[in-house]
Amino acid sequence: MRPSTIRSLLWKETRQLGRNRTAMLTAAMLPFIILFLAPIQLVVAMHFGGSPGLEELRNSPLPGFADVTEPSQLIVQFFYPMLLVMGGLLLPSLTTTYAIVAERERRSLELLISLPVSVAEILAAKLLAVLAVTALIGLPYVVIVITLLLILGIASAATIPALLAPFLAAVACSICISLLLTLLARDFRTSNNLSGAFVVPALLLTIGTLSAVGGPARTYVVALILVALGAVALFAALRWVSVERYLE
Amino acid sequence: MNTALAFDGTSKRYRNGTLALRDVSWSIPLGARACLLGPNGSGKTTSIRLLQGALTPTAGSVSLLGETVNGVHYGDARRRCGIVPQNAGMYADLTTSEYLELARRLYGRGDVGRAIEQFGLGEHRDKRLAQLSGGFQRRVVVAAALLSEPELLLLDEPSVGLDPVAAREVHGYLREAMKGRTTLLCTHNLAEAEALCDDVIILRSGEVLLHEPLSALRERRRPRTRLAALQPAEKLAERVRVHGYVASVEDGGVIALIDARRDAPDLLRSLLSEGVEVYECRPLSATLEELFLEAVAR
Repeated sequence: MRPSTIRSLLWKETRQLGRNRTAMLTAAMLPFIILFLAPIQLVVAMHFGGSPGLEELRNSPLPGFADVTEPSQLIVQFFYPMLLVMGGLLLPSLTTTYAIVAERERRSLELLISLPVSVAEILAAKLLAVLAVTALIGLPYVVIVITLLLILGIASAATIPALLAPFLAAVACSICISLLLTLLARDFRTSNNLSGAFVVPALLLTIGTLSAVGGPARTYVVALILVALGAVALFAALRWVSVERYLE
Repeated sequence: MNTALAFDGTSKRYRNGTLALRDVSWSIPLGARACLLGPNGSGKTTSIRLLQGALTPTAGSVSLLGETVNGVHYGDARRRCGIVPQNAGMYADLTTSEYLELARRLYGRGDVGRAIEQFGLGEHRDKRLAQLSGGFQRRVVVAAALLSEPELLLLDEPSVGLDPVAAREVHGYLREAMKGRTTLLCTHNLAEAEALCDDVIILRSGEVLLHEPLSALRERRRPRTRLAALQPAEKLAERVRVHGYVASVEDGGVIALIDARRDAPDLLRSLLSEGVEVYECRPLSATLEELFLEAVAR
């Protein structure tokens, strides 16, 4: 793969993504709700009190969270990591599906491969463009919320990597799984449905892991599992499904 | 290195089990203008995609400008090759100049402004590709393929789907572009192949049926002459047969298997002396369509 080729394709992808209002609106709305509104609401409810559930949580903690004595700590150890994983899984899957399937559906892939590029370079550029869009849209919300958590004393500097790890791992996992699913799917709708369907089990796995693993390492374990899932999907996409399928 | 492209014992089997190419070996030298013909499903598009590096052969190898496809230096060879794809979909979110700029960046050379001027795309430079008419879309694709002044041109059905006026325009551009360039034209349009190429490769069911110069193919065919007379064609054919030649009636005239230069003067003298009023005697050159149909029917 030539870096200059990837750069040129990236230039094309970012232009196209930027011009697709539907894809961009969806990509902008979801993270606003999941990565910004929901955590802010949690912080307001749990830190500033007024939630009748707080005392209840103190007396009978969530399964697997007996070690968390302060309910507001559930934000950094359970609720916010879960929202980060949800956002990290959903945000790139929509844009990946759009970027990869749209090219095949409108048959412009034929036009693109008539230029000196390989299918692997095309896919790599698309995935990098998705990563760039995700970072551009998702990361500012994450940074704002983490800063708020630091200011309010809910999170410490040491917890920043513990929060960022599951988010970044979810993004990577989502991109790899979306690549596999879009190569397998024949059309946009199937691809979107498959991508949506994988989010629920991935979230259940995240919740299960956060509950089962005690202590501050729980978010790192979630991140490791998501990275492993993504690696398996990427291997399957390249080894068994093969990029040739993109042309079929 | 004087081979422009070569298939060496190449087979391609798709994942669904379809064997698109079966142990084919053929090549074209630098400077050649060859057409790749074949019925649907004969392996033409697979051949082009293998040359593009978009597919990997199941067995054997494919080389482009001396470099094995997907080998270490294939990328350099690929950037010396312009490709016009078959009836590709057009971007609804990229303009003409943006697409040409993308081509320039990927080839690493070329002058977008000059290409826009050369192909008469000035008025359409800021229009999205999908908004252009079929003829202009094809112009853009040809312009992108020629932007880097490639040594080799691969043309996959360059005029399919165009109206006759647009097809004629595209042929004009291609004829200019093919001057001094090695070209492989993959087409169903035999008139187009005949007008633009010197060599013929015919594929059928993934195998090479024939590969030779068009002139040699014509020479090998038995010469034919068309005759017409004031008398009914059946009567003329009967008289021709009396002189020992094979003749059949076609389109109101007679097609006789004779070499016009060698046999026609004597035959005409005899026919006229017998009272057959012959007014037409024309040697027939086999069209590529006839040669193709003969080869495929073998």
